Amino acid sequence: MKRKHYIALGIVAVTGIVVGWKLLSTKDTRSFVYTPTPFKEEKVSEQSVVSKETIKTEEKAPARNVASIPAPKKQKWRKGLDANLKKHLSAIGAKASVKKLGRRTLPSGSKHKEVLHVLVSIDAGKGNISSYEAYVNPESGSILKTWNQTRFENKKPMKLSLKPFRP
Amino acid sequence: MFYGGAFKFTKATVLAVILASTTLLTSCQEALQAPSSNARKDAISGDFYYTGNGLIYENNPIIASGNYNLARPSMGDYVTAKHVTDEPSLETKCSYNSSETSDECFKVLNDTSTTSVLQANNGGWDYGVGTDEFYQINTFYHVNKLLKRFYEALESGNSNIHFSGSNLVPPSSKYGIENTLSFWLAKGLRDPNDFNNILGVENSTLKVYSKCYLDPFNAFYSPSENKVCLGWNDNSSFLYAAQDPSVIYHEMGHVLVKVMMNQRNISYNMPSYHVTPFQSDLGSLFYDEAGAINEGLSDWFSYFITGRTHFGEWALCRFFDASRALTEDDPIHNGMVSKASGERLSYPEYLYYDPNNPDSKSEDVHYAGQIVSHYLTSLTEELKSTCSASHTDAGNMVLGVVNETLAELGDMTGKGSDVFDEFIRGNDVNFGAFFTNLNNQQSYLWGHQVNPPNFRKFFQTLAKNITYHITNKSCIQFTKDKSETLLDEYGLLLFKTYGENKKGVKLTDLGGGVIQKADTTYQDAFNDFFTNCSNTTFIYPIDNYCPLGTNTTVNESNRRNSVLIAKEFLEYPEDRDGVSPAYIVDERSSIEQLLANLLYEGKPVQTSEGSAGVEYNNNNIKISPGEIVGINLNLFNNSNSTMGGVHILANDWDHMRMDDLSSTYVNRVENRNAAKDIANWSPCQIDGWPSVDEGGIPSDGQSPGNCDYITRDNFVIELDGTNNQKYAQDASQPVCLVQHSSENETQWVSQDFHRRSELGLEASQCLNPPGYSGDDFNPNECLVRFLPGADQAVLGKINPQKSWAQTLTDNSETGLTIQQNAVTLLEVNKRIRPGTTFNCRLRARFSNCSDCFEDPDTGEEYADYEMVGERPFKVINFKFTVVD
Repeated sequence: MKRKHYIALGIVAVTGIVVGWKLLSTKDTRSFVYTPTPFKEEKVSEQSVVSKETIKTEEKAPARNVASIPAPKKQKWRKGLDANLKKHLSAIGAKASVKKLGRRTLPSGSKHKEVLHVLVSIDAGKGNISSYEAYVNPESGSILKTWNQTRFENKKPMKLSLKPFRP
Repeated sequence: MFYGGAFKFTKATVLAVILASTTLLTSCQEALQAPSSNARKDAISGDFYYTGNGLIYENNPIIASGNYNLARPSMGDYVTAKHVTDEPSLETKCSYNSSETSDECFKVLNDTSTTSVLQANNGGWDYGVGTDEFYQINTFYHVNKLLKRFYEALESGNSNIHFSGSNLVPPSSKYGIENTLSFWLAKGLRDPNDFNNILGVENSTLKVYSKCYLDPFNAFYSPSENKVCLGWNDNSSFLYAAQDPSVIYHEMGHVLVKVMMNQRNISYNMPSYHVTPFQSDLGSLFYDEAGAINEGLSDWFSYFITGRTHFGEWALCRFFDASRALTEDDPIHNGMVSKASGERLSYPEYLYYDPNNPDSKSEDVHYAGQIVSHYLTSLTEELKSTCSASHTDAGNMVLGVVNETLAELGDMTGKGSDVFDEFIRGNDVNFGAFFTNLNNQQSYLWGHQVNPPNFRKFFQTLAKNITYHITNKSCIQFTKDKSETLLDEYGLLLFKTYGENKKGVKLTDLGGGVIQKADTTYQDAFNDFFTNCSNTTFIYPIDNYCPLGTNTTVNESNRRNSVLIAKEFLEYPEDRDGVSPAYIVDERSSIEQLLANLLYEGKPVQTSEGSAGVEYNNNNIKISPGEIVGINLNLFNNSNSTMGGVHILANDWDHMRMDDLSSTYVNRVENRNAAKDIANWSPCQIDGWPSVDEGGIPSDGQSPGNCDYITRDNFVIELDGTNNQKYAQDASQPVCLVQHSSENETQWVSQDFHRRSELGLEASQCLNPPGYSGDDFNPNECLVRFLPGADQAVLGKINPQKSWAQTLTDNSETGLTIQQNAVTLLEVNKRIRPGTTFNCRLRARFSNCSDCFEDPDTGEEYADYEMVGERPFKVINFKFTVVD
C-alpha cells in the first residue's frame, strides 16, 4: 500500500476507537454496598433518584433538518409535576395545565428556601375547571402547598365504600 | 311544597301537601321548557339613551310575581328600569373612603370565551330582555349594588372601630387599608427580575361571567383566577343563575369573605410593603366548619342587601330543591324549628338539617351554614329592635364585627393586629411577637389545618367583637347578657371566656442562627409602652391601647342550650361490642378516584413513585405493603350530648424527643458522608404509652428539647452553615411509630431507626424520598405516612352513645358509604416486611369540647403553639399490622 493509504487507515482506526469508546461507556454507575447496622458509615454511592424509571436529565433532540429549531428542553420540575398530575387525573378523565408565575424565596426557620409559584388549572369537562395556586419544589416539581382553590356551589361529594376494619 | 306554611298533620293536610307538591313539581318541570313567544321584549329604542339606565330583574320571578307556584314565567314581565352605570362599558373601579382600586375592580363578561366587555348603547343599556346582553347588564347591576353597599358598611364599621371603638382590645381590621388597597382583591406588584422584591400593590379585576357554561348547572368562585361563574347550560337553556339576584349576592359573598380575610396580609410602612406568601380562605375540605361558616355568611349577604329572609327561591328551587331560609319563621321549616326559646336552628343538632328533606342526614356546608345565617339574621333583627336601628344601620354594625372577626382569623402575618406589627411600627423589635395562627411561617398550616376557624373559634371571636364594639359602643342596649343569650339559643356559646388577653410567642433573632423564644401575652407585650388608660376610646395610632390583663368570662347562667363536653368522652372504640373501630378502603379504582378528586380540588397529594402506589392495592380489607389505603376512624361519643365538628389530625406533631440534643442531623447520606452527628428520636410517653420498658420517655420537665416542652415555632428541618439538614430540637415528627424486636425485647421506635437497622433501606427507598422532598426529607416517615392533603378528617357530629357511623346510618355493620372529608390516606412502603406493627398517634378534638381550647387547670385559652402538642387533643392510638 502507498503511504497515503496507511494514513487513511490510521485515521479510520483512531476514529473507530473514539466512537467505540463513547458508545460502550455506561451512564448509570450506581452500586450499593451496605450493611444493615444502625448509623454506621456506609460505602454507598447513592443518587437521589426515586425509581428505576429515572427521569433523564437530557432529552434526545429530534432529528434536525437544516435551519430547524431544536425542541425546547422540558425542565425537570415541570416534567415531575406534569407526570404526577397526568398519572392521577387520568382516573377522572381530567387534564391539567400549569403556568409558572415566578420563583419565590420562603422563610424556613432561620433560613430561606426556594420554591416555584405556579397556577394549576384542571379541566374536568363541560365547563368544570378547578384552579389553584401552588408552591412546588423547584427540582422535583412535587407540590408543597396549595391555596386559593376554586369554590363550587352544589358540588356532589365523592362517595367511598368502606369496610369495617379491626386492626 | 316550600311555601305552604305550618300545618298540623291531619289526613286532609297531608293530602293537600301532596297535591301542592305535585303541582309545584310539575311547575318546576314546566319551567324548564322554552319560554312562551312573548317572553322577550325587543330593545326599547331611545328610551335609555344617555341615561345610564337599563332593564334588570330587581328580584327573581318568584318574588317579583308573588306567585310561589310560578309555572312558565314570561320573563319579560318581571323587569324594571333602573340606573345601571354611567360608565361606557360593564366594568368599573371600586371606591373605599375616597380611595379607588388601582384597576377596574370587576367586569362582567358573557362567557369564558368572551374577551371584550359590553359597551353602552348610546349611553344607555337598552338591550332586549332575555338576551345575553340583558343578563350581563343584570349581573353588573347587582354586583355593583352589593359592592357599593358593602363599602358603605365597611367604612362605617372601620371608622367605629379605629376612631371610636374600645381601646381594651387591639383592632384587627386593617387601618390605612387605602394604602395597601386590600379593601379589594389585592396582590403585591413584583419586580419581574426579582420576584421576591415588592415594588408596590395592585388590585385584581374580578371577572363575572353571566352565562358561564356549566354542566351540571352550577356556579363557582375561583380566587386563583379571580372569576365568578354564574352557570348556564343548554340542557335547560331557559335558566340562568344570573336570573336570581340572591344567587348573585351569595356568590359575591364568597368574594367578600376572601377580601375581609386577607386584608391584613399586605402591610405598608412607607415606602415599603410586605406581602405574605399565602392567602387565606374559609374552608379547606369538602365538608368542614370553616366552609359552613363561609356558606352561612354568603347566605346572610343576600339578606344584607334585600332584607328578605329567604334566598334562592327561583334558581335553586328549580334545579336543586335547595333554596334556603334565614329565619325560623320561614314556611320552609314546616314547624321543625321556631324562635321560641330552645327551638332555634341550633348547633350541633341541626348540622345535617335539610329543610327540603328533613329526614336525610348529609354532611354539607350549605346545611350546616344555616345555623350561621339564622344567627346573623337574628342578630341583625335584634339590633334593629333593641336599638331602634334601621336595616342599614344594623347591617353596618353586623358587617363591622364580621369584618373585624375575619381580619383576625385570616391573618397570615401571625400578628392579629397592626398594634403588634414591628414592620408597620417602624421596625421596633420590641413588638416581634406573634399571637395569631402561630407565626408568619406556619400561619397557613395553623389557619387551615391545625387550628382552623371552627364554630367555636369563629363565634368566640365574633362575640368578643360584639361586646367591645357594639355593646360597649354603638348599641349599648344590646348587653353582654343579651348577646350571650342569643348565642346560646343557637348552641353557639361554645366558650367560657372571650380570650381577650391572648397568649403568644415573642421570637427574637439573636443572629448566628439563634432565635430566642419567649412566652408572652398582649399585656406583657405592652407593659412597657402603654401610657394612657384613662381614655376608653381607641384612636389610631395605638398610644392609648389599654390591654386587659384578664379574659372576660361568660355568664354561666346564660348557658342553657350550649353543652360543653370533656374530651375524655371521645373514644376510639377498639374494644366496644358492635362498633367497628375503623373503616378501610383499599380497592384500587376507589383510591385512584379519590386521589384524582383531591388533586382536582387542590389538595397537595404527592405519592411516592416506586415505593408505593395503587398498583399494589389488592382490596383485601387489610393494610398491605405498597398500598395506599383510605382510613376512617369511627370515633364513639360516650357522653349524653351531641359532639359537633369532630376534627381528626394525622399531621406531624411534637410527640418525640431527640435522644441527644447535640446529635441533630437528619439521617441521610450527605450528612453521614460529612461525618455529622446523626439524630435519633424516641417517643414521648403519652397517656402511659409506650411504657419505659418499651422505649417511652416519661415526663421530663419543661426545658427545651424535653418531652414536656412544646415547640414554640414549629420549625422542623433547617440548614446549617454548610447546607446540611438538621432538626430543630423540638421539631414535630410524623405520627407513626414502629414496633421493633431485638434480643428478647420489643420496643417502639422511630421509622428511621427501624428502616436502617432492620431493613437497610436507603433514603431513595423511603416514602417521600429526597428526590421529591429535597431539604425537607424526613426518614421518620420512611415506611408509612399519611399523605399531605389527605392527613385530616372532619366528622360533622356524633350523637350521644353512638359512633360516627351509627350517627349517619342505621346499618354500618357490613360497610359504610361516606364522603371523602371523613377519610385520611395512608401510604405504605412496599419494602415493609409483612408482620410489622405500627402505632400511629393521631389527635382529635371537637368544637363543643370543654377542655380542648382552654387549660382546665387555669381556665386560660391555650396559646397557638399548644396545638402542636397533646394537651388540646384526645390522642388516638391507631395500631395495625401490615399483612401480605
